[in-house]
Amino acid sequence: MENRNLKIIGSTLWVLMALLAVFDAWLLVNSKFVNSEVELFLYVLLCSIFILFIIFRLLSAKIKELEKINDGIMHVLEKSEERRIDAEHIKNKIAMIIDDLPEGVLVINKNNEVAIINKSAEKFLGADRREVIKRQILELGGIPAVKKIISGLFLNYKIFHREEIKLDDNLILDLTVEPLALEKNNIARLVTMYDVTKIKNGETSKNQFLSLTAHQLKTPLSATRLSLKMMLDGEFGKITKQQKNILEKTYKNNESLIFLVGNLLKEARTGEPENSENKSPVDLENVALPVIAFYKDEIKRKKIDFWFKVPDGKLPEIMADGEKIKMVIQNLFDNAVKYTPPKGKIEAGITVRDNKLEFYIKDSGIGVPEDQKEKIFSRFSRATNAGESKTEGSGLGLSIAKEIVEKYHGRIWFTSKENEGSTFFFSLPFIDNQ
Amino acid sequence: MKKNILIIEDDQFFRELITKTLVSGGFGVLGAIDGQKGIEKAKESKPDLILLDLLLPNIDGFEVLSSLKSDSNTSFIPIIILSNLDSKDDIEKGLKLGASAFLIKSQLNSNEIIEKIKSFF
Repeated sequence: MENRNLKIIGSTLWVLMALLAVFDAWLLVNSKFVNSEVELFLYVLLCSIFILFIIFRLLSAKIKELEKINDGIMHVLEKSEERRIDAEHIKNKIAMIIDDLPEGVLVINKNNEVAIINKSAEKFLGADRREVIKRQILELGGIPAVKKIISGLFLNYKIFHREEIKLDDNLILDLTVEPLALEKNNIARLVTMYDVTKIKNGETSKNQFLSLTAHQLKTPLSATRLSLKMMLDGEFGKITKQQKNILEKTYKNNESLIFLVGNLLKEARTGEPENSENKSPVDLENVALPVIAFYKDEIKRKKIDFWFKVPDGKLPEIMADGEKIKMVIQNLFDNAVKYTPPKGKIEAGITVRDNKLEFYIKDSGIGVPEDQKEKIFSRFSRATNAGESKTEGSGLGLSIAKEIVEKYHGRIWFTSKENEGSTFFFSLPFIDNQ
Repeated sequence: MKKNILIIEDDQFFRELITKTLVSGGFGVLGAIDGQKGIEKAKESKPDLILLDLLLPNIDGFEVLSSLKSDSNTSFIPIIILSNLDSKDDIEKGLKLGASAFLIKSQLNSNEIIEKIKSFF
């Protein structure tokens, strides 16, 4: 409306100015009527109107510009309000999606308070969000499931952490904890929980079958072993040299079968769901010593120069199932002793590096050929030159070792040169008592 | 006087081998092929020592062990477990229930078994 009025005023002024110009011209042409005072007055009037017109045009242009700016601002405000509403919708949708996720989600803020807990997490942990939101996670130890997850997750690990936890017979969770903001000593954590009960129960049935089969196999193999040993010892009468030779080979083959079946059993046990109650602080040296004792006779028989080195003082402990860590050390020792020739050298030891304990075993054995290095930790993998060393192996040992070490968030690796020897290492994070 | 050993073992071949070893070592030997018969024979003949397998038909070795150790007529008899169950849990369970020793079948030599048994007399 205002624009229309301005246009009418502007047009009127144009017409007025034109009329004045015509009138002025007429006065100039008819000079007999010219009176210098009248002429001056008319000129002044004409100029004033012209100046007024110019000012008016400038003002109306400015007003138009301001109106445009105003429209722009209004548009931006409208858009940002729309965006705010959209963002609110998206936020609500995300909150709803998180709440309805089949995975449990728990967010612990930097003050260790529960910031978010979704429905699945409530169900898994048997917790009510009205009672846990804004509460200190460490104060919630009264809820048994929460107690189980906080023990390892919040006290010992400040980095990404993954763990399988058996809360009861009907619930096994695969749990991950990751930092949301990395500030020293001030880390918010996102805990995600996956229900892996069905998968694990399937694995358990498979492992139970494997375990049972392995045990059934072990009985006749043990009887065969004992009978061969008795024959070799002459308990069933004197045997010829040729008979002895054959019996010794049969005995060795039987021993290999027992070792293979033993590894199948270990494989079955490794796959068992981790129960957090099986884990306890483990002194790596105390786990290694019985393994060394077990191989002592063979080391002596092969006249191997053996060293075991540990740093002075008490070593930090790792959080694990000691039996499984023993399996790892036993498999590494088994390879080292097997593949090191008589009068060779083996050095084992433990070192402390950063926040990890590192175990190593170095041998002067056959080594791993370059083209075999990649698959040495794969199941049933034996280096092509391993068969030439007249020793028996199942090819399961290193795969089991790797599986166990990685289960406890560790790393296993090796360096090797064919015909010179290998060094196998594994490292595991030790318990942070600070 | 000859010491009598009761072997509770379902694998006939293994039982025969152990029997031969024990007889050679100067012991008298009784045999039982399952847990139930083992309990009965232990109560009836009161052997000087029992060699007990764990994976047995009907009543397993752990139950046999509990039963014999909770009965005052047999609780004094030393029991050595002879099994291929070699996990820490099984060994701890066996010793907790009252077994005097735990031997792994697949690592056994006849000399060792004789020495172990003799250490109880």
